[in-house]
Amino acid sequence: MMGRKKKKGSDNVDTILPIAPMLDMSFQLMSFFILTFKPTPSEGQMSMFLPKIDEASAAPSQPDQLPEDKVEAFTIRVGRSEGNIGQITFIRETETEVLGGDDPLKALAAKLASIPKPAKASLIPKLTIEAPDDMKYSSLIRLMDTCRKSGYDNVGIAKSKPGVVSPK
Amino acid sequence: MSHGGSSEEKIEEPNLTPLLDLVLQLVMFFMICANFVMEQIDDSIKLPEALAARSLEAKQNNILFLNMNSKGHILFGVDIWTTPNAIESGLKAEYALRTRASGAKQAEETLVIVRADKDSNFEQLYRVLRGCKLSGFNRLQLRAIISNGYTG
Repeated sequence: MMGRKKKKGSDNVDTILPIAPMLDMSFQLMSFFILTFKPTPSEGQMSMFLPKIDEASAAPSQPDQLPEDKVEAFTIRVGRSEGNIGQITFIRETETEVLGGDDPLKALAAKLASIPKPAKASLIPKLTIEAPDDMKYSSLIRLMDTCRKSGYDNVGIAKSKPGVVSPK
Repeated sequence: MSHGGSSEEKIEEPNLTPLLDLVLQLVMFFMICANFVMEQIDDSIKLPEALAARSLEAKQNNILFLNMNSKGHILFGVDIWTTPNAIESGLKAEYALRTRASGAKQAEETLVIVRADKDSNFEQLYRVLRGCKLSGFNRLQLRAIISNGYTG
């Protein structure tokens, strides 16, 4: 009768996985990503609209609105000033005013604050900024910022119309 | 019954597995953050600051970022669109791609966020915005850094 022979080496072998080197490598990787991680400043955006592209593709004119539902439209025409904000002309249906002084933005903010706003948010006037070609993006953002801080969220941008001389 | 002269020394080893798990979680976090940030933001573009700029809504996911440098060139992934024709055709191609991928309605509702360098000029920006309009993108926004006050 054959006895069962116990094979050599059939004892259970406990395998131990060395974690310490793995942890060391993980710390190396983490250090790399921490050193190369660059937190970015928080960015935000401002919505805007563009006026109709050309007359042919213009939307049909709105049917006659009741006076109390009519949304007013203001135009802010900016003069050239080597990329910065030059003299501002504020155009409204009933008035045109040149806002000068040392700080046109401050004058614009004061002008916008002086206009009483309608109770309904949907009736707050639309603002269109007509800017010269060489005006910097930073200046445009400052203008839009001033308008929005004054409570006018519906701001659009347009090119200065040909034939219209922007105030210098 | 004696157990012998030498006392048994127990070597206690700390359990490193949870620590390794945590470290890998951190590594994954930094890897993923780095990828997402690099896709959207181009460090070469310096944005202006604005107080009234608002953060992006969390639910907004159909976004197209257009990075414009100070020369008016659009940096779109690996492509650089330098001429007005290239910008227009690139935007039309992108709109067509989005239409094919998720339908005309989704493409039309794409929010285009223009990240323009603060030294770029209005004409360059207007050209891009006009190109977006002509391509079919109707929702346009301008990006700025949210600040607490003007620095200049």
